[in-house]
Amino acid sequence: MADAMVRLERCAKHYGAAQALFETDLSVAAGEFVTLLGPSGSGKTTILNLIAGTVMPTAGRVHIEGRDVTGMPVEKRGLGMVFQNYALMPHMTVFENVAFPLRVRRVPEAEIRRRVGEVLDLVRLPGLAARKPRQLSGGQQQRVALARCIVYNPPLILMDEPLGALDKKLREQMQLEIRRLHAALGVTMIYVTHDQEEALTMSDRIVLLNHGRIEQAGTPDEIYFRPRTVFAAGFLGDSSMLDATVSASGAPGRVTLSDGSALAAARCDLPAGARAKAILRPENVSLLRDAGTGHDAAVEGRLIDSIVLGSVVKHHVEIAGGTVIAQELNRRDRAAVRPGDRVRVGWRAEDLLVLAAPD
Amino acid sequence: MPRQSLLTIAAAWACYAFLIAPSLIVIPMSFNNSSELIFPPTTFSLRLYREFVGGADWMSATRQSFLVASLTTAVSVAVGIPAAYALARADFPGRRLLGMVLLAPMLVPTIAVALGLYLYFSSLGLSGSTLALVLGHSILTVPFVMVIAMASLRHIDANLEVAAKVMGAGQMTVFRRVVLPLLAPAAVAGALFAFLISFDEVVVAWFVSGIGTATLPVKMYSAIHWEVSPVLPVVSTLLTGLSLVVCTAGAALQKKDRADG
Repeated sequence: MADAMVRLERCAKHYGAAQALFETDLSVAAGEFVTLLGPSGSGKTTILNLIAGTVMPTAGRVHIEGRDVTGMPVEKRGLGMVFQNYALMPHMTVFENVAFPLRVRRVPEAEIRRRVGEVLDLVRLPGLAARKPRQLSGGQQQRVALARCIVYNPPLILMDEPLGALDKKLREQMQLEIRRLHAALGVTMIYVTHDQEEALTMSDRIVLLNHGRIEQAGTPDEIYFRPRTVFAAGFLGDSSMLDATVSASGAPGRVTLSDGSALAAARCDLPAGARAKAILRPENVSLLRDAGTGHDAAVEGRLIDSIVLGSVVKHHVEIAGGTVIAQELNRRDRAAVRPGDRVRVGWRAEDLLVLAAPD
Repeated sequence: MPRQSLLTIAAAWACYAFLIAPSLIVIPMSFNNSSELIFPPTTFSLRLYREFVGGADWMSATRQSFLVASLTTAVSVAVGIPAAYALARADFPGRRLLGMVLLAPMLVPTIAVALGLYLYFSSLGLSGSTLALVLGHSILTVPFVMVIAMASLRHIDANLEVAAKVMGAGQMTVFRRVVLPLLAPAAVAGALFAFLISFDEVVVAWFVSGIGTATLPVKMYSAIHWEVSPVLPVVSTLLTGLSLVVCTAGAALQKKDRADG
């Protein structure tokens, strides 16, 4: 890719016998917002540190803006980075913290004043320049960290779970704030998180990692609607997974549950006879109250429980092969069903995903 | 209050009193108006203090002690702080071994260190010089500065240094602008203790000092041996006072450092 901001070429990292990252290729385009998503120990932070230069790859090359920076020390790379614990200098005021990268670059004092003032306005923190970091709230500290990062216009900003220490409401507010800054500055951002909702909200592209390998990379929609592995389907969004065996491959395909009932799938890429997981998103499964139409499958099962989550209700229904969750809107006139009732659930064939069962 | 805790408190105070009594006894003795060492003193005056201040050899020993202690403090901070930083943050082969070597003087008996230094400096022709005193004392004080600095470094987030580097700061800038300001309270506390240790130290000083370079404790020790000078309680009182002031300042600084960190 000609305009790649970052390119990892067959990068691997191990610590002794522990493999933090298996051989990985990754390319991030200029101006992109890419999220590295995965559970802890999946290698997402290792990738970020390889790009930052705080960790040297055991094998492979790191390119930034077309230059090979593999052996280049951190301070020469000219990147920005935001940390989960903010890493603000406790002995400096907010102003001095934000001015620090400019002072390192020997920017004239008058220009420092102007630019620090500008970015503090940009992150909506005017009037706090004289405070020390410990006099600020967590959200304010993270805004200072953002200001300190964008004040020297790095072309690439790395973020290591920057909102992990904030409560949910503040986190959602800061997600939008970071998106706004990304759009306003046209900067490339690489964002590490283990929070799938955060990844879906913020990213142009998600790189899903597991056990030191890229599991799947794509837009939030691609990964949500077309997960390629059971891990990807399980990590992003809610999924019901049924044990099944492929009975017909191709499009349309068919799987068989343990009780012999057959389910149609819009497509199935696995060979006939393969062990598979049949995957359904709750929002695509309906609780059938009458001879409903528009469903390609209607399976009878036993209602285990109904959980009310404010605007929606999730019905857990036990059928052959596992439990299916059916989601419906929580309406006042919703007909009551009780645990233990025999109910029918239905879905459309294109909403049934068939993926290889993990070993 | 339960009886048991009253008893415990009384026992603790008795122990403290027993430990501190010898230091306190010299204070009334220093105000004695007599040319002999008498306890308890019968008459009070500042005569012995005048004798101390007026005695040329006492004054030169005092000046020598201040000189040696100041130089030792400078050397131990200049060596101890960077050494502590390197041992706490860098990762190089032999790091643990070097750490043990640097801290060893705390564990080896002072008399063994003193004898080694005496033989070593004699062979170098340095024996009896102020330089030998400063180097000898620095060997004893550097570990203290390092231990204090390393304790403080454990409370300083290493991410701060990573952040500074990502922002473009080189290693020297990181040390000067980020690490040193945060280490300052520990450095000052370490300096105070180094000063005090050097000022009070007698064993190494006895071995490596010479006729013209004797420090105050060395002079006191000879005074006990040869003349049992009535000025001794005065010097002891002044030394106790100095130790008290420096220790209190050092403790206050460490407390402040912990509160800030």
